[in-house]
Amino acid sequence: MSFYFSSWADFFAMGGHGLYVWLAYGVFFGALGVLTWRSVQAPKSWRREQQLLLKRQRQHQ
Amino acid sequence: MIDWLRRLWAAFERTVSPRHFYQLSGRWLPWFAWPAALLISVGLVWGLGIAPADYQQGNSYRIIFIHVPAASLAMGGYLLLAICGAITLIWRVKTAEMVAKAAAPVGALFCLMALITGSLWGKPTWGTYWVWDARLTSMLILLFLYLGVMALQNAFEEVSQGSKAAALLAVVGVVNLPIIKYSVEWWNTLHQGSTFRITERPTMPPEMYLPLLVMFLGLYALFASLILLRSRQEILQRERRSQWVRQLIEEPNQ
Repeated sequence: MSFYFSSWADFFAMGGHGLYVWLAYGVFFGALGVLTWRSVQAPKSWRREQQLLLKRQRQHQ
Repeated sequence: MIDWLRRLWAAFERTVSPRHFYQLSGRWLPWFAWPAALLISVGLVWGLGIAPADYQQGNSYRIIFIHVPAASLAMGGYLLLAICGAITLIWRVKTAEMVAKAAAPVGALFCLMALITGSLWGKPTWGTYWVWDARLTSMLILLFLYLGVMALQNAFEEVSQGSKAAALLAVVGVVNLPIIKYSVEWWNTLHQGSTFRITERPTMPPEMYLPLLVMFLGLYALFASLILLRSRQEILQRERRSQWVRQLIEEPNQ
């Protein structure tokens, strides 16, 4: 259990395949991050919206 | 006997009622979300920094740690849509419609990610981003099936009608899953064979398949968390006129 690469530069280069590896990981976790963020935020903003709606309905009555 | 069956059915219907499922899923959510965060973090460090390079492919093979789970989840997600679809069509359980609607975009994203990470792995390994072979083409068809299901879910004024049309497509489209799975055995293909088999020993050494297993479990847990989270929101939206949702909205802290 130790770091496989001999240096950080080595790690980022990925033996010349750095572009493909980092692009794949970046796109993958970027997309999942956006989806997770939106899934977490949606109930919160929806709840605020509905609260306002209910309040307005009450004022009209 | 009939009486007993009737009682069992009533208990089942209570459990899968949107309101009860909402409470249940709220309790389950942290049990998936926290392990997901932990396992994905461990898998990332292990897969990118600790696992040795492949003797043939070098370091580009590290894409396997996200590509294989993504492809598996794309197929598993579609199976979930088909099962929810069958439950919707046969037993008319509303919660199944809601779960299917929550799951479709998540499965579609994993399918797209399997295709993108696969093509980024293909370039250094095969020399091309894309070939029209059986595995890649059937996976692209899976993405189109997902998009079709999503389009149908949103195509009708009456939400339930859209869910039924989408459920039918999901059930019919399930024939594509065995085609994807066996495509690497039935046809000549550039794509390598399966890494994991349930019945056989893995073809990789443990230094490579253990991080893959960790990432697999982490991403499955993330998938489950996302489905639960989105199903809960779908339930609230569809049931917003009912008393219990109104009460929930007006509760000050949550």
